[in-house]
Amino acid sequence: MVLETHARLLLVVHALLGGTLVALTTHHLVWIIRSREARRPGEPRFALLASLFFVLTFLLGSLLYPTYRVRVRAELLDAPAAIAREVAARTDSAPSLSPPRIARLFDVKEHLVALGLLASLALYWLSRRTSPTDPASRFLYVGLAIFCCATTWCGVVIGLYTASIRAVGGFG
Amino acid sequence: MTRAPTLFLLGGSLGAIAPGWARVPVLLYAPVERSVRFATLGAPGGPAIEITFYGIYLCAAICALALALVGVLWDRRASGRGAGHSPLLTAWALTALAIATAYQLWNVWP
Repeated sequence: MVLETHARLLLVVHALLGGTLVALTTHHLVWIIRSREARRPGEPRFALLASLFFVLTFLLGSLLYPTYRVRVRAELLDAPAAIAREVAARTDSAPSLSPPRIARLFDVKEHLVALGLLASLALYWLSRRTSPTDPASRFLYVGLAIFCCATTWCGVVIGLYTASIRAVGGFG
Repeated sequence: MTRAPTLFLLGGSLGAIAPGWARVPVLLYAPVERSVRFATLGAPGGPAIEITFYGIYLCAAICALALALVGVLWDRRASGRGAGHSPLLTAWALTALAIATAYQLWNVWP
């Protein structure tokens, strides 16, 4: 696989970028909601930073994806024999979420963050042309900011959940 | 002048559902073989592990850029005439984003 030898390092950087992205999109959303009368001077810069970090995080995640798809999904989550060995080696209770469902949960993350990236780029472009204080475009502005923030939170939570499957035990 | 970013969003959302819903062929990447083929999602004859994600969102990016270009030209032609903002277009764009999200989640929900 491409970049497989550097996968762990890339995953750590991807997680750090993801955490920063959550902070940026949340901060940006709060500023947009609070700027009803006057636009905060740094708000367009936050739109730029959020979309920049979104692109970087997405690209890094996309580079890692083939390794996940083969080494984690195909060789563990979608492989009944591997699951049986994993469950037999553990002493904890039965799993509450089966490995194939965990794999599909990760698919949810992929699609959410891809659409979140689209919304983030649209929001950045919007921030160059209008302001969240403009009543005509406020609905679109706030809607996109909420969507971006929600998708980054979902991405980080689902990503950490998936990555913790073997670290903290069980499939539940 | 918000038509260009709004159309960018609309195009990207429609482009994200086109490969699944309208059976638009996309690039499919086989990570083990390191090969790429151009086919519809789920087309037979492919390797065991095939990544559809890149192709789907490449299609979305192309559609987003194509409609954004239309938006830029529209904004340029309409500059000086009207507010440059269409509430109806905003409604369509946000609806398309909601539909694209719901469609993708419906297909992969655990």
